[in-house]
Amino acid sequence: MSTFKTTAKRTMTLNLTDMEMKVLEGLSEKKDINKTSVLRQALRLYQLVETRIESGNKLYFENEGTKEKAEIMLV
Amino acid sequence: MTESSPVYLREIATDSLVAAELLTPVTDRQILDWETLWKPATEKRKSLLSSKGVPASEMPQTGHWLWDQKLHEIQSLISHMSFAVTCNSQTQGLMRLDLATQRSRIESTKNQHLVYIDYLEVAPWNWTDPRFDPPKYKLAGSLLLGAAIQISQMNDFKGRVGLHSLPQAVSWYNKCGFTNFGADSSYKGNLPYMEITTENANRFLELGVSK
Repeated sequence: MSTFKTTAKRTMTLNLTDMEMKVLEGLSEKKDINKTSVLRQALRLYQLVETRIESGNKLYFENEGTKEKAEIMLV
Repeated sequence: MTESSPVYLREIATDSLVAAELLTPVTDRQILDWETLWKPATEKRKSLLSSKGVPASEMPQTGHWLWDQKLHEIQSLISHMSFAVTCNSQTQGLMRLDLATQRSRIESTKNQHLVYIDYLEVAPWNWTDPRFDPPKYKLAGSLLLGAAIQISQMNDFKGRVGLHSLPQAVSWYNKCGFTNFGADSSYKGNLPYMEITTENANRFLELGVSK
């Protein structure tokens, strides 16, 4: 199976507090992905949520058991 | 900017590999092919079957996705990707991926990230359907699935890929190494959810579709 080319990457330095780094490391371990991938996933979701909100959609969490919905307020 | 990688399709008429391209993201040119080539060819095939009295349950289940809309929805979103396979100046296959909103349903990797195939379709002249002429090219679907697995690997998702399959495509995904979780009542049409593990994804990249 042929490998395709990947988009050129750019490098940046990221300054995080101890707590922020701890959260990043925790998510990296929990999700079994490297820290760069955690940040990429966060950025993907952030942009997707912003785009949907701007289009007039609302963001909800639904409890699997009770089916109760809670809106996430984004202002 | 669209990136292109050289790949190969199998041309059935000559039983030979022919040069093709894997493109990402899909461009207006591929949408034009879908509009002007795929849609009429699909209609022609479905009309032919209708005229022969083939019941709706036996009609091809593919060929109804509006690719212009599907691709417009994800324009500028980094959560999604689109791919096309082109050969002989024609679009041979299209795929849309979701990298952000779906999680693994396999017990050992439950809730871990994966690449979800929103839509994957090959051109109507590449359908494997004994009621019509043999496909013009084979491997377009395999190349697109391979790309999805590679995107999963590149994002550290370990090759995991999930999807909801049209009933007529279930056996093909089974041969690719997907596990069938059965009908998903939370999904439109109760389509079956299918997922491929890291091990089976690696095997697919190495060996392709099993016979």
